[in-house]
Amino acid sequence: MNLSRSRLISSQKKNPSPTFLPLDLVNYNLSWRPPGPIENTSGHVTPEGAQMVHGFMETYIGTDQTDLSKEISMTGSVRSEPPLLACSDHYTEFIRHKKIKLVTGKVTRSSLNTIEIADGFGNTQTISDIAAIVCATGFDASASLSFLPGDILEKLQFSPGSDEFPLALNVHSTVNRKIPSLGFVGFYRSPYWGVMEMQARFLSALWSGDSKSAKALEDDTTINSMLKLRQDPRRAQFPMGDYAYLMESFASILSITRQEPPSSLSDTKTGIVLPPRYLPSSASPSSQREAKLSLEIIDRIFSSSASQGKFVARAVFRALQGIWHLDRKISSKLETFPSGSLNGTASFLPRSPTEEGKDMEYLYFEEGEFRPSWGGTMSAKRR
Amino acid sequence: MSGVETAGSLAFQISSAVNNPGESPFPEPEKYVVCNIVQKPVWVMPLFFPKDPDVEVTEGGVTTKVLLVS
Repeated sequence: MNLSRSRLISSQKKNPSPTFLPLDLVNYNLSWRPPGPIENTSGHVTPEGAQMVHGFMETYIGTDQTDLSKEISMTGSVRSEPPLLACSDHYTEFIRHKKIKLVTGKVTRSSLNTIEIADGFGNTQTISDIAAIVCATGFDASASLSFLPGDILEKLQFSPGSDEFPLALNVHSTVNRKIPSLGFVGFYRSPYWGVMEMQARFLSALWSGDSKSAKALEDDTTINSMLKLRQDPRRAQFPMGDYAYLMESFASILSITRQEPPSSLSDTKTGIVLPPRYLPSSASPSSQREAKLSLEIIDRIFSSSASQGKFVARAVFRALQGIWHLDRKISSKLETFPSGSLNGTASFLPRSPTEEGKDMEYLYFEEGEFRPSWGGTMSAKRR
Repeated sequence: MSGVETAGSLAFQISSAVNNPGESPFPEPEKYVVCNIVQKPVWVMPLFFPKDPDVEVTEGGVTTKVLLVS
């Protein structure tokens, strides 16, 4: 068979039986990156880059979310805008069930019992009969920097209005060249443990007189990208969101060799970015043992997902949430109980587990019209 | 915590108040709805994701699992 020909006529379709993994073990796969050193894919998002990530999300989520509500529909011009992502197991089905109602706009006025929302196109609407207002409007790091003296803040180009980068820092937000004795760990939006570990290692190398780290600080250009991103309307939701790039970049400064899975070929990038793969050669025997153990656990997770359907039940159970059409044919073996058909709804209503140690629970409830084979209808309910 | 997570948690607490056995922690929980005021649409990912949501179908009917490049 001609390979190029077969590739030409091949097409993609939805996998009827995908395997499942915890979210973080699906993302950050090194084998997805092009050959050569890993370049930063975060920060500024081009329209083409945005479309690619939106396409990826649609494939993985399975819809463009139009089925949920028009406010969360991922169609039209939004597909060229930097994508916004969030995680929740229950949110989407609560929208479908109308237990969460989406309103697009900004709150322009509020009183005890009424708020007014303007959508930016001159339309306003009010919501009244309010029990509580929760402001999930984000975390602002600026207020917690007030302990720093004014002259230091000035040197660090403090910008209180910049949510993502209130301080201008070098080497992936760890330290400023002008004040090399002041270090920051995890000081960026949505930091990962792996990156924080690397930032701490970098600072400790820098402060121990490591020449490579000092050179990295001297030659650093990440601060320029950071300052540009402050004003960039096409800034990514997580402007330092390229976990693989950050880990690889620090690993190269710190001369840490990434550990490859035992079966992989040399010179290949493969597997998921995981902190235990980035141990310095100076790591203590006990950290090395721990890292080995962690990688073995993760390996077992991958293999039981691939070969034993692990997490499929978890994914399916989550997706049961909500109200379903119910059509059931009942063929009774008891003469005293009628055969017939039941048409109605079956509801899976989430609630906190009533048994300790359980992850998820629903109240199952069905109701409908039962039509016995001998005629007539009656309403039926079951919990 | 994002607005999505906050709204999801609130709706879950209300749903529990309605559907858990025993007395509800507040009266008439079934009458509550969470209004989430948003500016832009957001992709909402469940905590467990398919690893291989697409398959490639070739001429001979051979199906290979493919990785998508993010």
